[in-house]
Amino acid sequence: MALSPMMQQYMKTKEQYNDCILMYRLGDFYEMFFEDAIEAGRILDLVLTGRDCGLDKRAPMCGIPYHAVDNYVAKLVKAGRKVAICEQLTQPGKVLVERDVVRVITAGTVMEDSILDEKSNNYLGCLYATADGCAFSWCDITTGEINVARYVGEKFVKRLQECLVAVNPSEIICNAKGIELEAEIPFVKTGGIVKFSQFYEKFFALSQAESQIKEQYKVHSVSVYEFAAFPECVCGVGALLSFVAQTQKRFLAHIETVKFICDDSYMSLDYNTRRNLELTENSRDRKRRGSLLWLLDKTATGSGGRMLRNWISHPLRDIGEINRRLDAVENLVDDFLLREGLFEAVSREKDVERLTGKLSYNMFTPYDCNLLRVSVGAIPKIKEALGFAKSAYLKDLNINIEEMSELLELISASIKFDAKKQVNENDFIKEGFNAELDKLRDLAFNGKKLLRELEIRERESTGIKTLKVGFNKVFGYFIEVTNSFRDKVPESYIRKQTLVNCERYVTEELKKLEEDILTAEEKFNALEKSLFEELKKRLLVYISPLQKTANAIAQVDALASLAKVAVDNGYCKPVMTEDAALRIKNGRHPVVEEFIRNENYISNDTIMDCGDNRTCILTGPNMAGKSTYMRQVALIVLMAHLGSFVPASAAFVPLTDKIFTRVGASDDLTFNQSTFMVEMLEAAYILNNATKSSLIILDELGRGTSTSDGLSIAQAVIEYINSTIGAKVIFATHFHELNALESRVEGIKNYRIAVKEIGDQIVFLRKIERGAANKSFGIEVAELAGVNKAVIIRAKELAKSIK
Amino acid sequence: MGKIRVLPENVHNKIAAGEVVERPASVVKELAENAVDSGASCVTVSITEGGAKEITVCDNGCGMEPEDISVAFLRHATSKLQTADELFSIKTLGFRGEALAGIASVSRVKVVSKRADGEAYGLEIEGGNIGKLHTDVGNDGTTITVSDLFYNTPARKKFLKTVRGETAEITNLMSRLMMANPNVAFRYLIDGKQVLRTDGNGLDSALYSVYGKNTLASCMSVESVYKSYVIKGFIGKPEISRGNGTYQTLIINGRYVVNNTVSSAVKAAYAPYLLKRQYPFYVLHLTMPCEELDVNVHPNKLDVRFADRKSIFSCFYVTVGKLLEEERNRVKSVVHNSVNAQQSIPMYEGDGKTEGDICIDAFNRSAQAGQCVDKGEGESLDRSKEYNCGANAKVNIQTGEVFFDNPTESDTFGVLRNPTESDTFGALMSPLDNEVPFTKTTDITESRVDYIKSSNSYQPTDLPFATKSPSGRPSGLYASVSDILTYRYALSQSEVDEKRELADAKSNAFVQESFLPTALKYGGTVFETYLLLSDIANSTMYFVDQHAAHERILFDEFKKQIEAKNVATQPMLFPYIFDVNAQEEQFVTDNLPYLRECGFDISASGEHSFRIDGVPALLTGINLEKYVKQYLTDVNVEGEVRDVIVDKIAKTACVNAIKAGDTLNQSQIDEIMSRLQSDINLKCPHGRPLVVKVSRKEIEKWFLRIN
Repeated sequence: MALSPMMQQYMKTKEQYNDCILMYRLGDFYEMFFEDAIEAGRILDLVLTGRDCGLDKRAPMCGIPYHAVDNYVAKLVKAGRKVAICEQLTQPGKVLVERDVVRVITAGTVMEDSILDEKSNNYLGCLYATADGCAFSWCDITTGEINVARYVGEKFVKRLQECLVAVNPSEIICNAKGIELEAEIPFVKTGGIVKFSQFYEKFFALSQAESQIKEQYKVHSVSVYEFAAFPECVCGVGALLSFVAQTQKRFLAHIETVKFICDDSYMSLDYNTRRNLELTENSRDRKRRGSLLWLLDKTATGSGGRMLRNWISHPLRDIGEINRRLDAVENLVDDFLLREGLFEAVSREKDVERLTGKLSYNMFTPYDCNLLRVSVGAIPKIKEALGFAKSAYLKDLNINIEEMSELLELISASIKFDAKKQVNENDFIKEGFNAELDKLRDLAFNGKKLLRELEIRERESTGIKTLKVGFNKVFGYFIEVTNSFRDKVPESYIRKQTLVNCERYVTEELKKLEEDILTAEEKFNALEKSLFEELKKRLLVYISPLQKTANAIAQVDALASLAKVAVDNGYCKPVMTEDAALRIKNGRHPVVEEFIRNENYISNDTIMDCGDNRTCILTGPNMAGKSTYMRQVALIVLMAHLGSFVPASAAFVPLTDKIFTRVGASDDLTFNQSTFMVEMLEAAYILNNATKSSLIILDELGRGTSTSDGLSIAQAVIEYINSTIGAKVIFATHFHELNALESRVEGIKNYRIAVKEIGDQIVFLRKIERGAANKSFGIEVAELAGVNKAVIIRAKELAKSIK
Repeated sequence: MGKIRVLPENVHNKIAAGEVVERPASVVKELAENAVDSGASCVTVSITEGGAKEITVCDNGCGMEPEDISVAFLRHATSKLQTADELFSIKTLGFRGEALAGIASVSRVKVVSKRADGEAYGLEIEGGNIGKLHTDVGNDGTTITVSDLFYNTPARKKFLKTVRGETAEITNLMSRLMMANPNVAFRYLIDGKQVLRTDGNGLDSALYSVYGKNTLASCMSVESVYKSYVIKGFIGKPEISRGNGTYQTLIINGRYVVNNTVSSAVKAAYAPYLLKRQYPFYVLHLTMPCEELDVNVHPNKLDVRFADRKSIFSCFYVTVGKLLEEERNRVKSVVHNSVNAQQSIPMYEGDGKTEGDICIDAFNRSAQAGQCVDKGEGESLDRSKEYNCGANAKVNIQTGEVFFDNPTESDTFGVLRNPTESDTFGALMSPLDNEVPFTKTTDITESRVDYIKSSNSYQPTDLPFATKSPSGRPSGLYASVSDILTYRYALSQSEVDEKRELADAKSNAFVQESFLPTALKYGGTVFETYLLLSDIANSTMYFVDQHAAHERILFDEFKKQIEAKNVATQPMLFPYIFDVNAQEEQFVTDNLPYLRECGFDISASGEHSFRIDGVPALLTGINLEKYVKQYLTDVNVEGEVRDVIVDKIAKTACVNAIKAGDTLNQSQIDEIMSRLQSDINLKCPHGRPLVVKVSRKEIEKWFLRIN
């Protein structure tokens, strides 16, 4: 027994896509066979059946209806599998239908709205590694954004890791060397970064990569691009584009020009810092709520939300750029009419970025067309509102927003305003757009009317008053005449059927009408489809201005969101300085303050510089607010660098190149390593990478080992940072011995959290003041926690004796 | 043993509290006003369970010294004044020294206060018993938490409304406070959720936060000085009037008060524009010398007394009245333009207005604040450019093409080139100005274009009543340029005719929405009250209340005569004598000069009676008995100003001059018609409409001819 022809076809296709789950279109279903069926059945919870394939045993099979494919693909992709979609390319007939894979869906290349998060990008990353460096490029094919960065020289792996953490791609492909490199990146193991998958080496070759780039951007030479100066970048970008082309099997016109990211364009924040400061996720359950992004994101559109997320993940370093953003936010804060007007206007924009992706991808439906129309229609209002803006940045954005009124007209004239959301849309072209279509539509939907008319006409012309037009499955439409009028029947009538009391005839006209009506619907759909294809082609021209405009609108949205939060929560404009002094008056933690809205958040001042106040040793009991205070300082500095107003009554923020945090707030960082080891790794990283303009937050370094070892390490670290690195550091500790350093070493100052003892009670005043804490109040805190009274009493005794 | 004893302190505190601390809202008011007095830039008010469970007011003001914290809760203790004289120059909101003591005696209070140069101290008070001062946690400023209000006065507690009711009361108070202190940022939380917020950036921002964008857009900015009174704020256009008086906010010297004099003055100013049960919207700040103001009148400081009531009344009446009239004239002139285009009646004859003024008038039309013809200050209209004008419309001055947007609720949004459809017409008008007539033109003929080019350019420079919002944008609104063109159109009669023919021939979409009685067909009178007029071309009909119309005409004529001091008095054959009581006698005597001004020949005739020997010639048919009776009902109203009094006299007289059931003959009808060349919104002197329009479509709907 041999495989049936269809199964042979299947096997041939499967061979090419061995690493994917192949969804094979059979009629109205996508079917999976053999191992695919078993695995998919398990993941998707489908019933496993079998199918005769010509072999002895039935082939295991499971399937899903074609209209539900999105959901299932989403589940498979989430489970980490690649999915290849194989469609029927010709109409069913006598021979075997031609089939081929039209698309491979991987985690980095999903286009379906149901899988994507509106407010965050979905990046596909490509790593090209060599012996002494690497190039990492990443692209979001739903919006067309594509970037590349290059890391060479010493410690390039660490910097690469930082970039990977910041970008957080959902899929990374790499060359062979890249797989070797993967082992050196710890976060891949711990799950912070997705695992790498190897891509064909040939696509990383320089010549191949170059030709791919040239093909994508339709240029003669890659030398027009900045990144082309570095061959690794060319290889990386080329391979990335090849991967996209290979899997998507179509030309994507909306991929923008590659942006070359310089190493020092953005503030350096490592993975721990991002998590400890809860920039985009909270540290408890990795969800949005409770993060800085959650607090600042009051954007009205999806693209605005993505833009803001990017801004938070990549704080700026150039003072000019930062001030540009701050001035724009200030303009929006002062002028509430402008702000509210912009919000209203911008909220009508319906994620044009992703729409252009869909258009380029050929997943564009009439419903999307209407979304595009509404969005473009909102542009004049946005421009009008922006006309009142005073800041240079907003004015520039206004210039970048194009009106594209012809596009609007084009769509308004052609697509009905209420086109529905289904995939196989019918009847969505407006009336009056195409004469033939209207005729066909008339025929298809008003067939009955025409038949009535014919009936009336025939009645009149023959004089047979009881002439009727009827229908049955055998003869189709016919004219029915009762026997009494039989002699009035004209010659042109062809007799088809005789019944007891009447006769049935057809005429040429009637038959033609019948054929017209029956085929009209088919023709109508076909014509509509072709008209829509034509429309889409014409729309493709607009992709570039649409992207530019959408990008500008997203920036407007993000700025307005920052302004809104600033106004609602009473933030002030930070003054960016190029000297090293950090001065915050009445600073507050933005997220904590929001959570305890009812009570009063006790604000605190901060004074630090690179001279006398560079090292701050902070002592005091637990639960008193040390961690919150330190995080508040870091967040204020970060927020200033991203262009947002800060929660303080006044703030002078120096340009900072990196922020490091070593806060042991959560312990799921551990992965085969003890707490102490993790701490030391982090400390090592900090010591190796901090510079004079960095800000370091250390929370209780030196735990997890013996007191003397810990104390020694802590002191050595402080001294090193203080004398050799010179960065600003806030060091919270329980080692009161360290307070002695203030008098011995210049640049170190002691601070404590104010606590008042009223009899037996302790009151946390939450105020930072100068001086060393004299007690840790550990036992009191334990008592507050509800530890057994007997234990507390005993502890107090022991404490006395130890002293 | 004597029966009368001095009450112990905690008891009389409770009694006094009864006056001051009526309900949670009073607590909020006192505490919030204290917060404002402390110079705070940011005040947060948070309530739980309608304020009965907890009220927290937190400010970032100057804070209290530790010694003062406990003293503050003693009765009659205040930092806000020291001598009695100061009472008349009081500048703070609080001054009695009563509130805190009262509040503390009927609740549990916790205070935490910190001065900028000191530490934070806290104090608890329970039912009047002051606890011990201790260090506490706090930011600069003061936070007061009042819990379990009326816990020790169960009777009072029972009288509290439901949580929703009390909350509503507090919300009402908060919105007044926000508008009374537009430079303070307020935050208002109910059960932990933020409900209202202002950013302390001025009155318009506060109004926006409390009442929303549409209300702000339909308000006119007020800024005027009258003697030593300064009025600032916003008054709402008559279209956004309400059914009750709760949308009126008066703030005197920073304090929210409810005062009858002012509210009646404003109401009187609005009277010609509102129907009987409609109340205007306004938020007005009055700044006046504190010597003329007595704030120590009402236990809740909710009302005040004026040294010079009449001046206050005039001040408001005149200011508001003038503003409303300017507004109406602006609208009227738009119509006049369109009317004259067809009628070729020269406008503003002898009005003394320059061409520039007229252009400016025609050029103004109020729709949404903040939108304007995009030309910038002082720039003249550039004919080759396109300008935004009106709501959602753009006009190219050269060609006169007007492009409309159609911003309906659903997603239907398009830019249409040829505004012949009726819905674009609606789109141009803001939803409030339904009945304001408007002229719409489509294409403009070549000759018209040339005509415009050849005429002298005009420079609308400073627009009257274009006040600026803080962002520097003028907040008036300009009419569509087609109005100007129409105005231009009217300048020369022959050209008018010529162009009209051309325009009519070109397209018959020269739709007009003005009320043009002489162009209508008279169809009869119903109930001897309503005239029926039909406009066949536009498929509409009009009902004219002939009595109201007659009254209007009479009134206008009468007023004109009075102002020109030209009232003719018709002597009567037999004098009319009427008796009065002591109060009425005083009243009539006070008003004798005004009555005489109006043309009544009236004099006293013995004890408690008066005689009328002559009446205004215009009102020969006046029923004096009815008139005098109606006139005397006003006997208790005092403190009114001459203008108002004369107005009233005139109105009342006119009403009584028309006999109900009187039919007007044709010539009288014609006269009414020819005089009523005004906007369709004109009302009778009492505020009732004169003309009602009914479209043919509406009628057909009655007969179910259309679905």
